[in-house]
Amino acid sequence: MKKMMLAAFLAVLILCVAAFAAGQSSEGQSSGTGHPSDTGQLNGAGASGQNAWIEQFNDVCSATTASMALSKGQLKSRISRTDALKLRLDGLEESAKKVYSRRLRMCHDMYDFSLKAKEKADTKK
Amino acid sequence: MMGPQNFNFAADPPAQSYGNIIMKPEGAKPVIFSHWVHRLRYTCRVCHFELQINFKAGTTGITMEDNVEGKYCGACHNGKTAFGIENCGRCHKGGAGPDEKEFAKKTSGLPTTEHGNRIDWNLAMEENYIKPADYLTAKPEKFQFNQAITIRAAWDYVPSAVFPHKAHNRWLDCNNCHPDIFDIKNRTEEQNRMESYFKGKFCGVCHGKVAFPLKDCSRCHLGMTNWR
Ligand code: HEC
Ligand code: HEC
Ligand code: HEC
Ligand code: HEC
Ligand code: HEC
Ligand code: HEC
Repeated sequence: MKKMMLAAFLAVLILCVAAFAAGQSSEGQSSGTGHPSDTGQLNGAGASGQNAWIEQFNDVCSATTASMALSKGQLKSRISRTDALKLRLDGLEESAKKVYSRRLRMCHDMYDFSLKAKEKADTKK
Repeated sequence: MMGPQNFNFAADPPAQSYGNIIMKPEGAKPVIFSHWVHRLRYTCRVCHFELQINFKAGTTGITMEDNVEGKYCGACHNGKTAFGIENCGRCHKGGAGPDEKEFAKKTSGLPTTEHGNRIDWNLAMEENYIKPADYLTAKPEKFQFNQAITIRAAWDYVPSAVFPHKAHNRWLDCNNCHPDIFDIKNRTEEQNRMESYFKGKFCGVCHGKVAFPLKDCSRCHLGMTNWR
């Protein structure tokens, strides 16, 4: 019985890891097709790569106004997700890049500020 | 006690001119951008966070190409949200911005103050006289962070100043101030000097430009009188 549960657990774990890896690589691909100049794709493809990037940006960065409600762990995770998005900024068109590269930096810095504020409050306790 | 008597200010501009920005592009008539017209309908956050317009006139680098692509002014001046970008003359009007009459018409009934636009924007928002939109595309997750901070400097010759987060978070995104204007690291005495604000730093990024001016001493230093 115990063995079966262990096997089931492992299976779920493997599935999760696989799903995560698939998620990672499809994100990677969308940034590739999102760069019109290096793939020669039609504009449509560029726009969808760009939209995917913006969607993820909104997902990660919509909580800057609620950052003090996040835990330190959640803040750290958001910070590393902004780092990951930064690596794929080149997939954006020039004028979107102008706006979003700055917003991404601000978003990263806000989470970092809140993390520092929480760490400071902890050392005071 | 140090107070308003220790400072000198120029006379107030007319209420309808406070916060107006004159842009002088090459090859077209000047554009007057009125903050009061726009803040009746939108919070600062919309333009200065979502649309990434800088808190310093002439530094954003807005071009007509950006506008046509739906950035900056073009995010709203698209013929749907506001008049379209093809109405060149409505922006490139030269001269002054909206006049006294238009100002009176659009702002009648709002609570008043002594300086700046002579409008108590904080109260106008708090008491729902106006309901400016807080975003264009992505709704921010809101979390009440209402900490009021008393900023007490090392000196006792002046009543300490208050900084209410609540009054600011109605208009601004945390990210508008943190960490670019107010950081935890590198906090210096300079941050406690009126002189820095007159130079447009810290509180002076907004107060004296668009938010109520520094003459309104009593709104920050409770217990002080205003400059008259
Ligand atoms: C509809 C868009 C819009 C809204 C809403 C808006 N602003 Fe602005 N703001 C601008 C533009 C455009 C500029 C000029 C930027 C440039 O020239 O690079 C500007 C410039 C500024 C400046 C620099 C002024 C100077 O003299 O250098 C400050 C400070 C400022 N805004 C504060 C605010 C505050 C505070 C609010 C909310 C109460 C606000 N703005 C709301 C569009 C907006
Ligand atoms: C967030 C949306 C938004 C943005 C961004 C925006 N506007 Fe507007 N603007 C409006 C709306 C809505 C009105 C109509 C307001 C009314 O009549 O009550 C308006 C009105 C105006 C007017 C007519 C009133 C007046 O002040 O004479 C001018 C001129 C103007 N905008 C210029 C600009 C310029 C220049 C920019 C960019 C620097 C800009 N706007 C950016 C929404 C916007
Ligand atoms: C919603 C307001 C708005 C409208 C409508 C508008 N402009 Fe502009 N225009 C601006 C702003 C803001 C700038 C940049 C100002 C600066 O230098 O900071 C600008 C800049 C310019 C420039 C300078 C060069 C450049 O490309 O940036 C030209 C030329 C120009 N506009 C022509 C036009 C013409 C022609 C039209 C009508 C087809 C038009 N504008 C409609 C706001 C507007
Ligand atoms: C936007 C808010 C604000 C307004 C308006 C304002 N102050 Fe201040 N002031 C502060 C803050 C913040 C400090 C630093 C903390 C402290 O000393 O309490 C400060 C510090 C001071 C100081 C001590 C440091 C220095 O620079 O000498 C004096 C004196 C002072 N204010 C006088 C005034 C007078 C007089 C007025 C009106 C003419 C005024 N303030 C308007 C926010 C404001
Ligand atoms: C208008 C500017 C402004 C806005 C907007 C703003 N703050 Fe602040 N914040 C300040 C100032 C000023 C201080 C006091 C800083 C000082 O005295 O060094 C402060 C202090 C703080 C601190 C304490 C930092 C410390 O030293 O421990 C935290 C945490 C904080 N803010 C979080 C937020 C959050 C979260 C938001 C949005 C919900 C926000 N702030 C919005 C200006 C702002
Ligand atoms: C990024 C812009 C910005 C900065 C920086 C900023 N403020 Fe404000 N502040 C505003 C706006 C916008 C309002 C709303 C009222 C208005 O526009 O006149 C406001 C309102 C206030 C009020 C509420 C007044 C009332 O009637 O209740 C106080 C007090 C105040 N600010 C103090 C400060 C102090 C002190 C600092 C610096 C530590 C500061 N502010 C920095 C934009 C700013």
